[in-house]
Amino acid sequence: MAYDREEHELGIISIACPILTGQEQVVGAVSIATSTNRYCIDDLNKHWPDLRDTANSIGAQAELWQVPTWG
Amino acid sequence: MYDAPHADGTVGKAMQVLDQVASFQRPVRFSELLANSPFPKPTLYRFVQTLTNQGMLAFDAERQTYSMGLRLVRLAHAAWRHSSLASVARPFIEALAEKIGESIHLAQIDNGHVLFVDKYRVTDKFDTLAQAGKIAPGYCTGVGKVILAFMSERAQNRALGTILCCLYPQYASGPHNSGGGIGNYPQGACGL
Repeated sequence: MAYDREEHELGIISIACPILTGQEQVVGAVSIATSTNRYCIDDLNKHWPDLRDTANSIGAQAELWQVPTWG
Repeated sequence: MYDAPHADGTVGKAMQVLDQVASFQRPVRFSELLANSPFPKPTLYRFVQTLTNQGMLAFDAERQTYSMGLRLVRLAHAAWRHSSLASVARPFIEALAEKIGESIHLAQIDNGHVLFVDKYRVTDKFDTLAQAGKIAPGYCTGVGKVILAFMSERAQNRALGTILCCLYPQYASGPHNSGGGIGNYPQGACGL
């Protein structure tokens, strides 16, 4: 996982998970973003299992559809 | 293979026959289909004939076998042409956003930059700069950092080289950059 602690946008934080195919090839990433007025990074951590499950599901479908990857 | 509920009628049954032919993963004789079919011989024969007439199945008269038809291949290609990470991921992103009530970003990386390919908002209380079609630096976004971390070493090297060229333009044409990669930059120049 990776975090964005207001590095890209002031007041916005996020937690991100890679989207991997069965061959461990990264095809993208999905993240949960929120405002620092609402939550902190620790709050986002609570959503990690849901985020990981979502990324895994997308990865399985992406492999089936053979979506293009970019470097 | 999908089940064909009774409510799906003739179309559902025809799809069952297509699924059965596909499951053999080779050309198949009518007798082989009949052996494992839920349909009586006249019904199965009628489906196979109709599907062949419609180009969904192909019949090899010499070998007396059926295989997937060219029309089916054309349909598959059409579906593939419109496939993308965004379309594949959309139902999962929607479900996650609705469950947790926060914004979800979907991104890919191109040349060290993050390309947002989808975004799903469930609240109007805040918004982010990320929009589908917009790019952002890979090194300072959550999605960018996590993609970079899982890239192959070669792709990672190339992406980081591009990032450094943006951050330190003097290195793009300088003596350090003979091959275009992170290895050619001085230690400490990268703030990842």
